[in-house]
Amino acid sequence: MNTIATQAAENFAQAAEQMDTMYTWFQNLKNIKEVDIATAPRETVWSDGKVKLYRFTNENKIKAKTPVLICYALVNRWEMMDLQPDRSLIRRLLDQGLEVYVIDWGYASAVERYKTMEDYIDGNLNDCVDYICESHGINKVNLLGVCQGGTFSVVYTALHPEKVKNLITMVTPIDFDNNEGLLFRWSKDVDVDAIVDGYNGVVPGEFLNIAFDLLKPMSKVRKYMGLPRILEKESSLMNFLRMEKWVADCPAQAGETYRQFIKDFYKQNKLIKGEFEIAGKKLNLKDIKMPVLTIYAKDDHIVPPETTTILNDLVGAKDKELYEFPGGHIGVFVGSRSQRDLAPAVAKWLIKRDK
Amino acid sequence: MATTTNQFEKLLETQNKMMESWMESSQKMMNVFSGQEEQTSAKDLFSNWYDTQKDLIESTASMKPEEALSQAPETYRKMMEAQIDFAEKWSELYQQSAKKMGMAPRNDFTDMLTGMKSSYQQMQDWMANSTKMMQGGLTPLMPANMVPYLQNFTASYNDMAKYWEPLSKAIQSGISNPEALKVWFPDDAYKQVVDTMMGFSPMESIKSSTEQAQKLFSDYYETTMGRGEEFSKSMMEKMGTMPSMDMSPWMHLTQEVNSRIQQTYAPFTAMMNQGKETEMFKEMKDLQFDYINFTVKAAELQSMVYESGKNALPETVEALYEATQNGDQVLDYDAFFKTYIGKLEDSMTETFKTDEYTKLQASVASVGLSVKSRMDNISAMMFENTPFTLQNTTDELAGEVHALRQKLRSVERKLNSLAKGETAAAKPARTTTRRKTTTTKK
Repeated sequence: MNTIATQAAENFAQAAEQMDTMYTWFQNLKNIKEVDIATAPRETVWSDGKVKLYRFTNENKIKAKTPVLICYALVNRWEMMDLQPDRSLIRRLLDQGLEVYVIDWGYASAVERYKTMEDYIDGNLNDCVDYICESHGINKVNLLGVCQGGTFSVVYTALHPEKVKNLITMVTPIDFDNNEGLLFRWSKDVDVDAIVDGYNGVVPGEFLNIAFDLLKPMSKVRKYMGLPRILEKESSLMNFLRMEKWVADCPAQAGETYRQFIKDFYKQNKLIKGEFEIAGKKLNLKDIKMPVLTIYAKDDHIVPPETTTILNDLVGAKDKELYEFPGGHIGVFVGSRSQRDLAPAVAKWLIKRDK
Repeated sequence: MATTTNQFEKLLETQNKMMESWMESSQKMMNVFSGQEEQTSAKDLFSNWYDTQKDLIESTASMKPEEALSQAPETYRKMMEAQIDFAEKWSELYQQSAKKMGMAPRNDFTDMLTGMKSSYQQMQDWMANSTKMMQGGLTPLMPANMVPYLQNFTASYNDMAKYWEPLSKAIQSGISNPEALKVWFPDDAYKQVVDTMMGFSPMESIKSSTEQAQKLFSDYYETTMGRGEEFSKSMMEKMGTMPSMDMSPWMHLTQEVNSRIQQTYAPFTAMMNQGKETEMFKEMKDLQFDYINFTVKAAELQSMVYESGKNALPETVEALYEATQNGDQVLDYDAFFKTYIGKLEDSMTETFKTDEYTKLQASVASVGLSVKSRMDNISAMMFENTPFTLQNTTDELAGEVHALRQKLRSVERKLNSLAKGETAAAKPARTTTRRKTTTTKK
């Protein structure tokens, strides 16, 4: 009997606490007026159609004369690199004294349905590199490619090695012959022609999101289960809402580029076989002789480590390093280790080679 | 916010009144029992309980919030059950003690119990409203396309909670036999939870689609073969035997029949006059067959997902039974739900890696998009004489734009190399790149 009374007392205390907690949640929700992402000061310095090149303002002492050009993927948006002030790889690179540029690919629509990988890589990316070289009076840039943008960067570097001083790839798929990564497995059987043609040449972001969701089918359920703790602190709530905003913003893909990427890379693995051709040139990864830093995430379920680390075996560079990040695909950009360890390591690596 | 605060205060006020009433009655009981040696144990009981309640009231006021909403309904339930249980036993003891002492039985315990039960309901309502209010406050801040995911999570979390009580007993007893667990968490409930989590169409809508398929088939046989009645009957029988968890044989049969009828139709449409109407008719017929094909394949895919996760519950029960026996895990609904979705995910991703799933998924996407293409074609034919810009027109424009951009880039590069060659010091002109400088400062 006494136990029951004690239990009742404990439960009552818990209930009262929970009511207080809920009141805090409502207050935190009420305090948030705007969910802002990518707030590092920047200028649009070049544009062509929907593609823009941003230069980030840096008031720190510049320690490397060669700027870094970040080439993000066409999937999702570059804002992941500057999600919020304390989770911003871009801000941390600026803090380390680097000049930073990023390409914003924009939102593809019916106008871009015939845009090819060549248009993106030998066209837009090359124009951005030329612009930066002209602006800084240099011949080469430091190229940092992210995920699919890393594959683009590797292609670009093999195509125009004379324009890249140092190459950094982050969580970048290179060897597509992999059955462990579900995206790699599924892409082998997918009828990409039916998809591109069925969507009239513009593959919607929602379609891609379905595939990404299925890689970890309970990830969203798990995420929302954590909401009670998230709601307790306004800062956690803002972190959550910013990430939600980024995840939700998945641009459509230019159909021809999507078709080519799936066929040439995922299905036929042409890049590492030396069979990939662009701008009339068959690429040889051995032409990549400048220093290479390959960053991969140990627990990456989107781009498994073995699909990316192979790059260092294939390039012609003598100065090449692997950097293992202890986390997942997204943690590379926003995790606390990314801010504390990865960004300074990247900056140090670049500054050392900026001669 | 005012509403929440008022509800909160009202609830606390009710609780406090009940507690005060209990303490007052308890004190009276203690006074009655004082001096009665044979009631020493009862006196201790009430004395201890009184002290506990007193401490509780005092400590509650100084508590800081730590616990999560997800645990709240469960805690309230436990709290009220314990209190009701306590009050019932207390009432029983009081009545017995009063009888022994020659006192008249009291009815206010019954009133108190009624009040507590009503308060329990009030708390549940309050919690439900608060969850809704929390979502109401959160969803305007979220991107619109993420809100359905949150709603799906809430629905599946709440759906599963309905089965928690019996399942918790299964865990406590270590009952992990799949058939036994089905009694507490039936197949239909399982499918509903998976549907909500995965954003699947409920099986009901698939059944409705299969009825459409059946109608199409029987119409076809009635009009072309004169065997409609026999065929309809046969299909009805087949559909009636569709097992709840294994639809494969039925699906394959439907697909085969669908494909055969489509092939049989081809010569009929080939004999028809050429023209827009004929094209539209063919497209609509093919659309109908593709749609059935899509529905059946999608159902098969869904069925594979159900099958893959069937063992997740027994595995969850086993894992939690062991963990609770070892003292590694406190048994609550959140721990159960978290373990369950982990097991579901593991088994689903194993299935997702198989050739069978991969090929079927690719096929579903392909057929689904074929349906969409046919609908687009029909729309284009229907609206070709109207003053709207149609897909094929924008397609041509996109092609032209792309070709022009490529030519422009080629010319631009030639100009740049010419400029560099002729005047090495001069900066090259950029004809297509428009410089625009805007500043974002926050």
